[in-house]
Amino acid sequence: MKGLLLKDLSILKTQGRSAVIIMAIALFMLMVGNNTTFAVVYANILFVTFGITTLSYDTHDNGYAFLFTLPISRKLYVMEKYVFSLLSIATGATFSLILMVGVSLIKDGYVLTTSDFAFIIGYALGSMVFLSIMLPVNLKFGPEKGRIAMIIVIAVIVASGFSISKVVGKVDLTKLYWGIREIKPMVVMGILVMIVLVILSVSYLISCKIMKKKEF
Amino acid sequence: MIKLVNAEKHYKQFDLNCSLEVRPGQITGLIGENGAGKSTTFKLILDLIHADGGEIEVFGKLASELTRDDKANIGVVLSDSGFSGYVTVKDILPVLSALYKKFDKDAFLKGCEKYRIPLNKKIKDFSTGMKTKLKLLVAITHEAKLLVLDEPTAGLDVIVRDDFLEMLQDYMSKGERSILISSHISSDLENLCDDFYMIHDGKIIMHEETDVLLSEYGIMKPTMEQYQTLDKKYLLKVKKEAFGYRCLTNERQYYMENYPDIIIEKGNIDEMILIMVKGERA
Repeated sequence: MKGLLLKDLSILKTQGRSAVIIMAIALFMLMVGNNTTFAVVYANILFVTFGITTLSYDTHDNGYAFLFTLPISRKLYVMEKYVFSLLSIATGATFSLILMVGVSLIKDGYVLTTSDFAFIIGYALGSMVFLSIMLPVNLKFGPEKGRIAMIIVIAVIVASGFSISKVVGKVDLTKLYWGIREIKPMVVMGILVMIVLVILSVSYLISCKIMKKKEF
Repeated sequence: MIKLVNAEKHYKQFDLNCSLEVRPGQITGLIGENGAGKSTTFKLILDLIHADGGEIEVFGKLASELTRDDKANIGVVLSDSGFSGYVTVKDILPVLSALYKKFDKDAFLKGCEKYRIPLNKKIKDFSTGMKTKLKLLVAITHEAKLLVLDEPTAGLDVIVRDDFLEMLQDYMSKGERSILISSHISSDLENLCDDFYMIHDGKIIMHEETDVLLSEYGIMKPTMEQYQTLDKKYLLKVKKEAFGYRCLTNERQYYMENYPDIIIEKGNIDEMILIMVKGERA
């Protein structure tokens, strides 16, 4: 695992400059405006996709064939991609937090609220769900076809979301809303974390199955 | 070290059915033209593709059941695949140290210096020779017991090829180790291998020890008339040509003694392949 993580880190060195530029732009956005949400999303986009990026480097020039002659199993490879991606999301969230705290210390009138922190955590959880779809899709179809497959997946999600909202629109959700409001925020967070963990685990198992069948 | 018994792989336009064995302490060559099935055989051994039938064993275990420790005992060079071109040798050093318990960093660095492999240059900017030497250096510096080298000499100039052979000889001198190496140009392997397998159209068409191949095999060139009277008992394959025949035999001495008028040469392995593949049974 350590060897694979080091390999991915060395690949990411090529992306280092883009990361610095993005963080600088996010810092600038926080300094001049008050739109925390946008800055956090912007700063994290690169981190969320780091795992997928390393995957496309792995497949480049028929790289998989050599990779799987190294003393690693296909399962370990999949596990490492999830670990690497999760570490990357955690790094992105930490950077966002440092940026926000830093700016709040030096900028007058910029006060951090609980919702800012909640947004970072929520965003990280959302990124994990995104990852749970992206990784198996990319492992199955490869980075090139994966992009097209991803567009289709997003279209399906949007379409189903739209149809669900149409159906749900007719139902009175006020009760549910007030129900959730009555639960303590930490409990809601706990439930969300559990849901994301289940999604991640299912995604991991699917990815393992995809890799097991693959031929290089 | 490696044993394939009727290993099968079926594709739409190609079927492989291959049996071969690599014994401890031996260098075995797999030769055949492009598309003959060499890479498919290697991929089966390395469990990169799934077999459709037969048995594939490495170190006495099924290839698909090799553990990570077993895999660390194999050094692999593939002609068309390697580390990402976007990293440098310096970048892969810690990766190799983490992946292989027995990685000899000093030997690796000494090798880089000796064979002029730059440490800080991106691999994608390496010449073909540099890339091959790097791949082989990676394969031989973690005390692997077995090397699996698929077309490693493709595109190498004479000097790099010489470096390459030197590295392999050095590797073999350190204990009981084995190598399976493939090439479509067998002159690369003639002085290196202990035995050869010839593969054509997915099947092994010949297996012989190099000594026997060079001492007992021969290529005979009888005229049309001479061919008519020739004892064809020991002819393996015959190829008709404009002014006569080209015949491959594994009893050169017999024909030299009984047919002194017919031209008979030792022949090199490439010529033998040509007759084996393009010739017909006598």
